[in-house]
Parts: sequence; structure tokens; C-alpha cells
Amino acid sequence: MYTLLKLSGTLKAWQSRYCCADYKECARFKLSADNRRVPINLMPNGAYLRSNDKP
Amino acid sequence: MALWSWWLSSFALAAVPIAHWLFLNRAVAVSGRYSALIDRIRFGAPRDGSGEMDQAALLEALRAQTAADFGDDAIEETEPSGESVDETIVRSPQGSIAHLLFLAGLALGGAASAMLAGSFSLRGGLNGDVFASVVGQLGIPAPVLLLFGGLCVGFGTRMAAGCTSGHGLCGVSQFQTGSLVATAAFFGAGVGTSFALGALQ
Repeated sequence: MYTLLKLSGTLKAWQSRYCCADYKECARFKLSADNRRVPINLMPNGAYLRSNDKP
Repeated sequence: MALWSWWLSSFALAAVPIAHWLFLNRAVAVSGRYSALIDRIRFGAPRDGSGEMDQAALLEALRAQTAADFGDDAIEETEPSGESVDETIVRSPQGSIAHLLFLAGLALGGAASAMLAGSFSLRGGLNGDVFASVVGQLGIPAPVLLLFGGLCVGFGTRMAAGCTSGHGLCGVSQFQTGSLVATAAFFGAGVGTSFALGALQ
């Protein structure tokens, strides 16, 4: 996910919201802390990226 | 028991990850397959749909999601860097049947090798005279020790995110720092345990 965020130019926004602030609210952190597989397309906000996503 | 020569063993070991990559386009991961099977049993089949997406689709969806949450200004301009997301993490996971076939192949391959060497036998005890003589003094039944050993292996591989095949065969061949450290730890612990058993005997 880090590489995806970096390549898409969205890294800073997500880092400042989750990694550097409410990391315990990060959906990826929660799954990982629960020793579960973290899907590549799971966003920190809990949404799943899908190819037909629209804003 | 006749052992393979060191060079033949080396070539055979090197052939395993290479053949696995050539035929399946995936890195060998024995503990990873166990983990995937357990996860499938615990949580069911993944429904995230990540396997249906390529890198370009993921990037496009990510920008759309970011714009929805933070606004268009949160998206920075990026220059093409040639960097790409590891292909293995955007590919759909293999099914349970593939994992079971692989794990069954390990057992069958080991049995076939032992049969060809004429040393095949089924036994419930511990393998290794020194180990058996040292731990035998503790009075703990062999199956309990084996179960405890298996739990330790499972715990260690999850903690290290890989086992001897993933780190030792694939990670080391790619010069990954974590795999080099993990493999040094595996073999260092093995050598240390061997010396300790020899001293206790």
C-alpha cells in the first residue's frame, strides 16, 4: 500500500491523517494487529479500492 | 542412511524456488501456504476483489478515494519513476486446493526420497539419537515434545513473516536484509542447539 500511495501522489494525505495521527483507527493497522491478512486494496479508512470506484 | 552430496543437494534446493517461479510465477512459501489455509478456514474466502485489479486500476481508484476523503488538493503531482508495485501483491491469492496439493507434495516427495534411499519407515518417536537421549531424560512423551516444537515453529514463522523456504531460499537469493537476518537466526539457533545438546549428552 505504501508504494501505491507514493506512486499515486496521495501518500502525505493518508500519512498525516492515519500514520502520524490516529494510527489505531487505521483499518489496515487493526487487521494487522489482529494477525489477519491485510488486503492490498484495503484503505486506512476501511474502504476497499475497486476498479469501478467513483468519488 | 546415504546422504546426497553437498553439491547435488545445493542444486536440488536451488531448483525448487526456480521451478516454482517458472511454473507458478510465485515465490516458494511453505509457512505462507499453511497460514493462507488457516486464514481461509478462519475467515473464509477473501472478498476484497484485489485480485481483479492491476496496478493502474489500483492507482486510479486510490486517487478517486483520496479526492473523496480529502479533496482534490490532497493529490500531488507525481513524476514517472519506473517504480512499480510488486506483482505478487496485486495478484489474486491461490485457492485452498493449490495449497493442499503443494503441502501434500512435500510429504509425498519426502516419502519418495526416503523410499528410494531405502530408509523409509513410520515411527512416532523422535529422530536423532542425541536429541532423543537428552530430552528422554526429561520424561516428556515424544508426541508432546513434537507438538510443542511445531507450535514454536508456527509462532516463529508468523513472527518472522516467513520460514526457511521463504526467507532461506527466496529472500536470501534476492539479498533481502530481513531474510538474511532471519536465515542467520535459523541456522545460528540450529548450530547453538546442536552444541548445547552435545554438551548435555
